[in-house]
Amino acid sequence: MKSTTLNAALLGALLALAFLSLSVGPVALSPGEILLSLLPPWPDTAALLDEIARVRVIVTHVRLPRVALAILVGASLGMSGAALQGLLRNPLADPGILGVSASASLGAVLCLYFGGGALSVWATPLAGMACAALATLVLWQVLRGGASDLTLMLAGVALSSLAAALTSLSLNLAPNPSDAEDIMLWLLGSVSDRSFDDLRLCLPFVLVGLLLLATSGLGLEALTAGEDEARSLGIDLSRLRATVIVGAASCVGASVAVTGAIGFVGLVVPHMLRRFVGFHPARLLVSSALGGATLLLAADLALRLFSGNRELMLGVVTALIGAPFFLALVLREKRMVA
Amino acid sequence: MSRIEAENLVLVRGGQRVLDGVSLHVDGGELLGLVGPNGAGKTSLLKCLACLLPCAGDVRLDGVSLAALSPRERATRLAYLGQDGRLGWALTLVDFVALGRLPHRPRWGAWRLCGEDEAAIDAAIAVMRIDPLRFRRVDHLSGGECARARLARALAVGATVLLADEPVAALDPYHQLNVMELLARQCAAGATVITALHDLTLASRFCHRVLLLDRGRAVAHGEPRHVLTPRNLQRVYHISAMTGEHHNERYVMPWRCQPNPD
Repeated sequence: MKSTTLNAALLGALLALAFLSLSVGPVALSPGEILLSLLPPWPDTAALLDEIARVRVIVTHVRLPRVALAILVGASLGMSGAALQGLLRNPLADPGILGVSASASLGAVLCLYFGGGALSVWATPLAGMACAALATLVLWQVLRGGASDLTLMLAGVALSSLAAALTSLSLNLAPNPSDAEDIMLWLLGSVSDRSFDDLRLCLPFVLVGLLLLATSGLGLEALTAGEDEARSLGIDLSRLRATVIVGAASCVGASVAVTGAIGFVGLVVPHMLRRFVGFHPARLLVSSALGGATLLLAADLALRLFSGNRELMLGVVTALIGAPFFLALVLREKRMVA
Repeated sequence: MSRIEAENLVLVRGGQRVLDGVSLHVDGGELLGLVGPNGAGKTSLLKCLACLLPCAGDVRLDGVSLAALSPRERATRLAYLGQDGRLGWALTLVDFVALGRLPHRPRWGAWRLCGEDEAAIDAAIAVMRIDPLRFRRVDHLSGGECARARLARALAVGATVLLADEPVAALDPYHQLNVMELLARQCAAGATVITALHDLTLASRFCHRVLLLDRGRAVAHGEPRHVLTPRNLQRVYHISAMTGEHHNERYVMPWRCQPNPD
């Protein structure tokens, strides 16, 4: 399959899911109603205007931010996973490996712990992004010393462990059970009850991150031949590492800061699509962004359709869908090699 | 034809002199073999020549310092084949060989290969005799096939200088000879080739000159028969070697370990 065909198919699936996601909910909306609510007000009778206004509130204030955020976060996680796997030449690498996701979670958790969430709706995501930026700064310092990929991974594991330990400590010392529950809910990840403010907050960082990652294709392709060979092919490895680390940290930090930790997307999506792009790390970038957005939107739709009275958390659903699928892929690959 | 010269290369790592004032020059059409025991500095020397390791001293290509060239320009004129045989992803062999054309592609252009790229890729695949494997995934290749694919990738660059670090290390005798004959043919066509070798007979038969390294220093330099002498081999490798001639070509066969004075 050509990568352009794959991308077109993924884009089609993404648009279909987005439309379905806008129409599904306690108030079922027809495609016509959705289109009308997305268009400018139509001069007609007052009764019709009222109906359109009601639908418009549901679509633009409740469902559209949720859909847009799922697409943005899914694209971030998917492309970051593909870029990091290409950089580290390791199919097990994912945005979590750098410790940026865990650090963003820690920032948000600390904010909730100290009651920052009550001060402003922006306090929690801003704290998450600040901690993600701090983690990126640490990784940058490691990179400046001319670190190898292994050193980078070890630094990421150390950062991740430290952030996880401090997050556990916050849970352990939470002043009351409701704070502990807030923290737990944050850690499970979700795109529900998010507004355009959240979207506006993370959008610039996500776009900058995606753009940086998209420029790393040539270097990632050359790295297939090995580090020394890539450098002999004219690739500046230090610059490539910095581009991927800053790009991934920017998108993932901003995403996690707004939605909480959503695992497995960055790991599983590139793995699922790699075969269809002929194992080219460069072609995998855009496909993984589209695939990540599609998977996250599908998972969000699934939890909205199949949750009972209490809505499941998105991070749980992505892991429930992703983990068995990933295991099946690995087993299939093992059989093929044997 | 390109001439590569290195003058007084010094590389210090962890307080130890890995290269200690090594100088060399190789003209177009010449095959220089780097020989010496493990840790003598062969790989480091090749990496310094390819500007992959920062070292003191100067490396010049056709009289121009390599440091003055942009990485991209350097990449089109000098191909490097490393020792590490691990390949990142399961590309098809033809896609893997096409990586050699990366320095020739426009930085922001499309991924499509032009006619010149395809001709260079086809030529490299044909020369390495791996055409039947063209669409096989590189993770499904044997060790020998993989080594030939890597060399084809280096040849696809179309550079006038080839630096190859132990290109025959993973190969059976047939393919070892095959690769050395290929390198000799490249030289005959005007290429400048510097290769690190452990097999002293191959070095003796195929290299125009050899540079014998020991602990970062150039111990001897010149025609193989004057460098790979029993005395030099005993001094550097601590071995006694059997030497002789077969069909007017010299062979060097390591025979027995000698006590190491260290």
